[in-house]
Amino acid sequence: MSVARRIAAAAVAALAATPALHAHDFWIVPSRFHPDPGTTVAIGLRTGQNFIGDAVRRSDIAIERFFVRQAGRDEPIAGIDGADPAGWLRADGDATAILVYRSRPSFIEMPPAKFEDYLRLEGLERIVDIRHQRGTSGSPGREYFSRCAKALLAGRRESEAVTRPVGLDFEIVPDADPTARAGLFHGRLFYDGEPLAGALVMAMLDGDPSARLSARSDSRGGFAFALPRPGVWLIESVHMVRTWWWFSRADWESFWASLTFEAPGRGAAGGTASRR
Amino acid sequence: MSLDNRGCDINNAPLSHHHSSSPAAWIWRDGTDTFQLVRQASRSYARSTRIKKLSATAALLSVCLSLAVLFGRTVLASDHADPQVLREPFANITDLFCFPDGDRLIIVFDIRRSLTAAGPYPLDPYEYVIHMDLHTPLTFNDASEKARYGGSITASENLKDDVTIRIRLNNDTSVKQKTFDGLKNPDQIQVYTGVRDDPFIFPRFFKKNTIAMVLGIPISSFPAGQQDFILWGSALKDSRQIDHVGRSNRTQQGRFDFLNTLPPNQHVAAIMREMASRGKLTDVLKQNAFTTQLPSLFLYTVNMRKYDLVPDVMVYTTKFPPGFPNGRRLTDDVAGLTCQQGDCVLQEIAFIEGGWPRATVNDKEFKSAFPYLADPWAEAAETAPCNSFAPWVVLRSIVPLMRTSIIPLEEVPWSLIIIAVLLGIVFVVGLVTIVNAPIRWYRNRLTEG
Repeated sequence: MSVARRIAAAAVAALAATPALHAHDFWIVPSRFHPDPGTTVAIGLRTGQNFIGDAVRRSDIAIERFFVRQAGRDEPIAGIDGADPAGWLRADGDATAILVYRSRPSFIEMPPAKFEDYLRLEGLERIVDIRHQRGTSGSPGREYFSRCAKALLAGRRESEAVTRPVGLDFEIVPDADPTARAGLFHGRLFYDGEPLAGALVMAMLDGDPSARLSARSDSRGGFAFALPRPGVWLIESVHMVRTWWWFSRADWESFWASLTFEAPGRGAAGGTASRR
Repeated sequence: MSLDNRGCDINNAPLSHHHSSSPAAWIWRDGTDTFQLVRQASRSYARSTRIKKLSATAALLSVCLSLAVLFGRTVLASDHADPQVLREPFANITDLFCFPDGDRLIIVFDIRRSLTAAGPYPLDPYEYVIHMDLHTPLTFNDASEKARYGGSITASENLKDDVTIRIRLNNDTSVKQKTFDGLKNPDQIQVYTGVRDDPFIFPRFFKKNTIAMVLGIPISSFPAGQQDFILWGSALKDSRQIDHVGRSNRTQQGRFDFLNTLPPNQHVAAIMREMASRGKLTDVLKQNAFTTQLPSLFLYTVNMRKYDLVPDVMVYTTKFPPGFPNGRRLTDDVAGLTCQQGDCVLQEIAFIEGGWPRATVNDKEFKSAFPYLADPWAEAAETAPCNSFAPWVVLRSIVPLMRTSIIPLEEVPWSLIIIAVLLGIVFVVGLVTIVNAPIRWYRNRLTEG
């Protein structure tokens, strides 16, 4: 899909009424999105709806990966078990850094009606169809769910690293560093390292519930949003697969991908080697 | 569990322990099942397994016990002040004060705790340094940091000396050498050195002396309009830093002992590293029933806290009235003031060792003029430092332990664990054989008899 068509699709999608979310998203909130070199940044975790969330305390037992990729290296994010914020890091500040959080799976069981409500809200109608075809629509929804969250800390210059997957099971990967470009966000969805087509992707602006966009990923996993305003944006998507049911107590496994970053104002044209 | 519960329950709560409705699933103790185990195993071979964690914990406990046995005597002979291992008592900085008096900034820098013996003292090898950073910006918007540290330093890795005051003492405590880098009109700086009453408001150091260095620096010696001062002190021997002081009751806390040999621009990175490694140790111990209670002890003594990620320096600004933590006056009750902000060890020891109510003023009245410190106590034979108590024993054992290659676990090679297990098996088999041999011999003898 060409860039123009992607933007047009995004605009149409944005105009369409987006159903209110009831399931809980999960995202990363750093204390600063533009840290100066050498500064300490507190890393908060949030869960909630419509980009309004409650603080999630660090739980080491629930963390599979929690690190920052900056200056070409991956460094674990130190923190105190049970504390909010969940961790701290020293910002390199040179180029855009990537914060990555991958949770261990949690098990959840829901009544059939609620389970299917949530599937529809997250754009997972194909799972509803599969349950119907298998004659299990009346069965409780049993799933493992995992969080695959990322956030971007802007540096003095943009980073190519943000356009490459970091190896999460399910992740949102920008086509270009969104902390350096105003207006347009092009990205791709990857599941198990492969582009994922047909997934619902949503974008929300911090502090403005009316700024909500949605789109479906194309055959290459691509999607685009025309971000109407600068500010802190959350982009999120949910993917669900069947488990190896004979070995598992869950029938499904879901992955909740999110990406938070601060989009600059219109003055930021992008493509420059240095921002400051 | 309802849909709305998803957020609250989200992956950060320990996984469910209830059993699956699927008879085929084998649920492990932490709530995962076979499917998840296989998936996780294929995801990364580097993740620690139960066996690895168990082995590491066993090794950890063994080393812990060994350290406690080997170093128990030394530990009990040390007291609370830093560094924890006091091999160089005359490099031991006991206090740093900073307060204004008229047109001068007064700095008091004390060394050698619990001094009662007469001189001369072996001061010749040591150099005492007061550092000041006059350029790094301070902010005062964060109420918690202002209450704890006097202000916020946003980029601590840029801290460096704009002013360096170096002092060497003769063995009779007189000045042997002094240099003032970065200060104007050094000839106008007042300097006093000598034995004085220990000004620390803390029962353990009542009726004790200290070796004091007191400076009265004209405000005109600093750049015009200078309002913010970041200062710290260090003691060196052969150019090697042995002790550090910044804000009072910081490196005195056992969890910060490692900062004593580092400059402040490396403090935050070092604290972050320790926070990570000690957190991992806590996680490992929590996961085994045998050791699950130990982390609650570490919580008070060893583990980093969320307000710890700042360099150990003293902040003084003329924008606010002086008094801890905005600089430090001689009369500031640091034990009480730091307890209000979360660090209460000194206050507790003051109650344990002192009377009631807790002393909040010094045991001798300070002087109103330079050098401000009270006259020294009469010379007396020095007694052995009083004993510390259990948390410090554990701390002394644990802190070096955490520097070992056991932590972090990901870095423990499998080969080492396999060798440790094999050696353990050989040891146990050997022990059983040795013990069994005389028993069998005795049984045979009885049978033959």
